[in-house]
Amino acid sequence: MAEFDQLIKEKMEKAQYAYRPSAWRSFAKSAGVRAGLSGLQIAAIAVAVVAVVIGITLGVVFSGQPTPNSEQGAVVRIQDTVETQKPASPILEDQETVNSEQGAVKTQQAASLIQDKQGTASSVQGTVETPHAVAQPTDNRQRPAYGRPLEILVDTITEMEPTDEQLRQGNSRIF
Amino acid sequence: MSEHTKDRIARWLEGCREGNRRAQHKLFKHFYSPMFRLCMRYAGSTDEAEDMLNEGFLKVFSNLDKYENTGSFESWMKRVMINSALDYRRKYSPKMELTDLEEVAESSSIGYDVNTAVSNLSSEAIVSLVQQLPPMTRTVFNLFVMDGLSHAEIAQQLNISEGTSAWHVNAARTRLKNEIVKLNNE
Repeated sequence: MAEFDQLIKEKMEKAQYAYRPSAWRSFAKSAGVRAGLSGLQIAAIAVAVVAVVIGITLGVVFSGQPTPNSEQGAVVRIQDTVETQKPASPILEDQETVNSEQGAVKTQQAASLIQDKQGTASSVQGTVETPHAVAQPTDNRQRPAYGRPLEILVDTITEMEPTDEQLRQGNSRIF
Repeated sequence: MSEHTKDRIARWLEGCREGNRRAQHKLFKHFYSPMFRLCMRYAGSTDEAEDMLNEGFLKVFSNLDKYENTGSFESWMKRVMINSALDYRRKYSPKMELTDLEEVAESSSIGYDVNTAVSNLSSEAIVSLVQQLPPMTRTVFNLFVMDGLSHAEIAQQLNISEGTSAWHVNAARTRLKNEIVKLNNE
């Protein structure tokens, strides 16, 4: 029996099993050791890339313009700032001038009311004249035409000439 | 084992303890052949041996801190592998001892030199014959004949009686002899 056992043992110990690279891969797989990217990781990366590409494509389609890079974006922002500071239409510019003047008139009217209560005659005269001078529209004001075109009657031209009293006062301004 | 090989193994072990995958690969590659041979003895098939090997190496890498560098690393590794093979057997064949106890009739081999027949067979053929033994018989035979455990140690390891261990060894011998005679007669 002992000889039989010894022979079996010697035979079995002589068995050779060469190393196979697939054995390490099998072990790594079973042990959770990653020799490289797993299929799941590759799939996750692929899904993420596709999602980013779809997102960019949809963004471009819905915005209607290509995605600017950082330098172009800076230029666009600067241009926007300039445009907001510079009115695009002279009508708007006039309107803003009128608004600011009206604001000044209101402020001055309020100040004159206070001064009226104090009973100062000279200041009252000043406050009365100033609004008229400021409230006059500028000559280059452009107003939209409504209805019939303005007809200039020749007979009224003489009425625009300065009166004798105005000439005496040295005021040659034609109203 | 040469000093150079010992140094290399020591470096790999150091790398393995630090979680170096390259060192793990080197160690795996170096000890693949003897450990796979051990697993082939305890397994019923090559696929099963590969599973045993994977579980065994996982335990080796997980328990490297318990190796104290005093004895041979290969001996320590073999003990871990054997324990892993026994755990594998318990896990996947928990009732193997109940199904193995059957009578084995010894074939008539009077006047036939079985030992000469064993010498005529290849190593792979002998391994294949051992793999065909019933799981518990194969396990006890391996522990007793190949790994040198006593019946008392085997009884303690496998939670069986010493008599049962001796019975399995005799059953293994009888079955192997019968198969070897068959192979030589073919």
